[in-house]
Amino acid sequence: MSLTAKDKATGKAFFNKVSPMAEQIGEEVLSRTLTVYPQTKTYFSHWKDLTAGSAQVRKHGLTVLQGVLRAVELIDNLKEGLLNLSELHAFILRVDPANFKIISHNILVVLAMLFPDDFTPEVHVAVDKFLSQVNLVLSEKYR
Amino acid sequence: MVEWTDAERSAITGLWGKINVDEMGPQAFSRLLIVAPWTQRHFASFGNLSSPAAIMGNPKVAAHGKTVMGGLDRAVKNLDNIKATYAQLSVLHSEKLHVDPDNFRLLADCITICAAMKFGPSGFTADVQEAWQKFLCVVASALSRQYH
Repeated sequence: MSLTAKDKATGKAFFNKVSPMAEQIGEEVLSRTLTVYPQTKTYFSHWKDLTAGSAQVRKHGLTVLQGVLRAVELIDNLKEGLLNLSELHAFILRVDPANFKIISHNILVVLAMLFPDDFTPEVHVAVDKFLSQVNLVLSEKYR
Repeated sequence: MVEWTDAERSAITGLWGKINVDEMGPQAFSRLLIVAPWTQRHFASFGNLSSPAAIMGNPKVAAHGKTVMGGLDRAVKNLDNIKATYAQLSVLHSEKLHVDPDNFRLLADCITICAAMKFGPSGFTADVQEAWQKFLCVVASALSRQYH
């Protein structure tokens, strides 16, 4: 399910439009991940405050979203471009790759929720495909 | 037995009460056919599914979207007994329609996205999303129950 030229163009245009709201998007994505999929809290046992809207959730949500935006810039060469991120997740964070799907789902939900007029079915499929590729590349170094 | 908290019950019935089934059914179902085109395999008789515009304008797609939401209505009205309520529907999907149960999850995700688009951050909070997704998960599980 590789990205066509049209997918890339659609994805880039959409993310350009939504990037000014990166902080709000990131916060919503991470809050929903922690609330709707409570098993994900196991990765943050060292945090003091896991409630939605807390400073740590906001900061880390933005970090994750900025990673996604960076991937959009590197959309023509995800494998090499995200090499460092893949190594980080594989060797240091050791996040089970099943969680990438969870975050991707919540990214789609939040983008739809905040941009209902722009998140058409065509944009939806392009973004879904893009996130699937990112997940694949992030898991690249795991074994 | 599924345990629902009072908050979850009220989130699910509350959301359902605000959903326009005739609007969201066609939206969610056309989104499924566009985002996961392999699901079109069950709808060869529906006519033109060749593009997103064709799918979104197709009257058979719209009608079927409403049918599916009608099924969800029965689940909302029988929250404590979804498994039994769906026993025959499950047999239908397995024996007659031969639908891969993973498709239930795909459609559920499309319905969730349509709900998020409709109700925004204040109507579709993280807690509402949690209850709603739990509900759809139970529905999908009940539909897969009679597969063998």
